[in-house]
Amino acid sequence: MSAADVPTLADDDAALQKEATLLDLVDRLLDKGVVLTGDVTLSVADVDLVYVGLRVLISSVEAAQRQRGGAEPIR
Amino acid sequence: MIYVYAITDADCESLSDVCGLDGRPALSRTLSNVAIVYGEVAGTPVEPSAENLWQHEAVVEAVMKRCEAVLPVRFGMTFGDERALEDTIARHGAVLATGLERVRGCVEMGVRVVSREAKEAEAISPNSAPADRSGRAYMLARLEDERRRRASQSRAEAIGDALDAALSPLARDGTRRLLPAPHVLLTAAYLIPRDASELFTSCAGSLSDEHPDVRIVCTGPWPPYHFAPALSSRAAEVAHG
Repeated sequence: MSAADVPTLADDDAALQKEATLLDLVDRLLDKGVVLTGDVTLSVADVDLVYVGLRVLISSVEAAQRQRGGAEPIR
Repeated sequence: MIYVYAITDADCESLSDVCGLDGRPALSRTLSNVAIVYGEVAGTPVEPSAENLWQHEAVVEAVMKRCEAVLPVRFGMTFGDERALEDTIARHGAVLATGLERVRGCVEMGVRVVSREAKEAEAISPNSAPADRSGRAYMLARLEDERRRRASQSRAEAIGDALDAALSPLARDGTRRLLPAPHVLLTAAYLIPRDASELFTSCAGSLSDEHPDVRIVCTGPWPPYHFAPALSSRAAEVAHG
């Protein structure tokens, strides 16, 4: 493993920022906001799958970033 | 099916260039002196995929950019027909109007405080069985778990108070949750004036420097999800349960 492959503190913070943004998105859209008395078309199993899917998404994005050696804009 | 994204002012700017789920246009309709931003979806259930979540969020943020006040609606709210939507909005029109005033001119900032001791905590699982299986060993292990829990609670409260002292002066309102997940000391949401988001992020960054034992992560600006009103006793149970 070369020095370029070792994650830096900045890489770590960027990954944490991206993960926090995704988690905050899911938390807000699935658990907050106005609850109208329409039909909620979401099941508990769907929510669990969202969290699993996001973990996979985060891991794949991080892996791709390391390969490219660059950082995407942070929200 | 009618899919609802947000509630906003009746005189909000046009959303003609905004698309939502399934690539369908975001539409607006005025009911009971508020505007309902909605779209049409092919059917239910609406899958909570990352793509659909971001598309929902994109519509709400487009409304937030164009209008002074927006109440984001939870993901997945659908109505079978316009009559059902009209009845619901008519029933809750006053609460929605008050809710819009509460968030007028504001956005929401998220703060997440994560312990830097995560790896240590992972090494010491609270539920790990001690090598010595005697009753005494079990009780000592449980006492140690309780001591760690109280220490975490105190630590979370202390950092939460420091956060509030620094950030509340910038905010119209705020809410926090202690120890919401393993290694997360607290999450918080603050309702702040739109033009204060850079100052807020800068203050959160300074706090991070003052507390090197934790990571303070700021996200946003978001539409004001945490500060949306509960509409009925059943809705309140669902929203805050």
